[in-house]
Amino acid sequence: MSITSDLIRGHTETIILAYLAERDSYGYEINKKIQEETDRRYELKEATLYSAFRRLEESGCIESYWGNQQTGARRRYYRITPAGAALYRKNLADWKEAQSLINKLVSTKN
Amino acid sequence: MKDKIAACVEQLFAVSERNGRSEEAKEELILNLCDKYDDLVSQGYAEEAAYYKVISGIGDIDELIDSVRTRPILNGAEINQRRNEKKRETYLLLRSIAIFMYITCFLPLIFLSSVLHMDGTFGVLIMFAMIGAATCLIVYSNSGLKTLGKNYDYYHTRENGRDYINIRYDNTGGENSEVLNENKEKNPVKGLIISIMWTMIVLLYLLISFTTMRWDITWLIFLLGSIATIVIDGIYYLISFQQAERQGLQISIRQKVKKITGMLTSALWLFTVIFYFVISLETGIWTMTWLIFIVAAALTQVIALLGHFWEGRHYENEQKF
Repeated sequence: MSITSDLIRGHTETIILAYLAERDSYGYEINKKIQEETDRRYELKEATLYSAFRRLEESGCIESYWGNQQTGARRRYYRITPAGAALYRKNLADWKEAQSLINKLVSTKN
Repeated sequence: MKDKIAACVEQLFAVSERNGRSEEAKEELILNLCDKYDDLVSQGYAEEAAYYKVISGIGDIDELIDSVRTRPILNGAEINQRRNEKKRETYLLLRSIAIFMYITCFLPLIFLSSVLHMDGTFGVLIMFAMIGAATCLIVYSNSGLKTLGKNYDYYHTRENGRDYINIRYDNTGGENSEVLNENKEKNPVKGLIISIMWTMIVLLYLLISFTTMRWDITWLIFLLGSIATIVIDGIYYLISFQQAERQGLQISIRQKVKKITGMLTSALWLFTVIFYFVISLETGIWTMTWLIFIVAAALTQVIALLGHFWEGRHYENEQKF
C-alpha cells in the first residue's frame, strides 16, 4: 500500500485537474470523490491536497473563488484554466505512456 | 467540536507567516474539515472519534504553510534563520548598549560635580538610573537570545480521551533539547527557589544598607543575586541534562559547551561590574578602574576559546574511538 500511496501522491495535481475538468469543485468534495472512487482505500491528507491547490493556482492552472453554491455553506471553489486543461492533457498522455512502458518492464516474458 | 477543529487549525497555523494567502488557506481548511466532520458524524462516528479522525487526517501542515508563504519562497529553516539573525543582531546591539552604559555610568557624576560643581546627588541618581536601565537591557537581551535559534515541530497526543496539538521547540536543529526545555518548564521548584532568593536579597539589601548606610555600594548585592540565579540555572541544567541522558538521549556537545560558556560569561560580566564598583569606590581611582572591563572582555574571549577547545577535543576523541 505504501508504494501505491506514494505513486498516487505523485499525481495529486493531475487528479485534481481531472476532477476540475468536469466541473468546479472544492477541497472536501474532491477528497470525498477520491475516497469513493478508490473504495475508501485511498484518501489524501488535507495538507497534501491544499498545498497542491496552492501550487496549481501559483502556476495559473486553476483559479479559486469564494462561493456558496448548492448547500448555502461558504466554500472556496476552484475552476480549471486553459493552461490547466493543457497541463492535464499533457500529464494524462505522459501517464499513459509511462504506464505502458512500466507494464512492459515489470511483467515477465513468458 | 467544530470550535475545537478551528482552534486546532489556528494553532497549527500559529507558526506560519500571516498574510492574505495563509488566512484564506486557514479558513478553507477549517470549512472543509468541518464538512468532513459532519460527514463522519452522519456516518455514525462518535463525536470524539470523528474529531480525532479529522485531525489525524490533516497530515504534514508544514507542506501547506510552505505553500502559502509570500514570495520569494524560502524554506522554513531559511525563514527562521533570517528572522533569528535579525533579532540576534538587535539583541546583541542592546547588550552592547548596556555594556556601554555600565562603563560610562559614572561620567555624568564626574562631569556634574567636577565641571559644573553641582551637588553629587544628582549625578549619583543618573548613575543608578543608567545601571538600572543597563541591567534591564542585559536581562531582556539574554531572555531574547535564549528563545532564538529554535526550530519548531508539532506533534499530536491523546490524553484522557482528548487531543492535543503540541508545539515542540528544538534549538539544536534536530537534537533532543526539547527534553531539557520541558524539564525546565516542569520545574516550579526552581522558580520558587529563585523568587524566595530574590525576596531574601531585597531584605538583605535593606538591612545592610540601613545598618552600614553604604547605599553607594550595597546595591551591588542585586548583581550578586543575578550571579546566584545563574548558578541555580546551571545546577538545574545539569540535573535535566543527566535526566535526558538517563532516558537515552544524546545531547550535542556543542549545545552543552554553548550553555556552559554562556553561563560563565554572564557570571563573569556581573562579577566584573561588582568588582569595578567595589574597587573604584574604595580606591577612588575612577580614571584607572574602567580598565577592569577590558580585562573582563579579554577573559570572555578566553572562555569562548576554551569552549571551542573543549568541543574540538571532544570531536577528536570521538574520531579515535
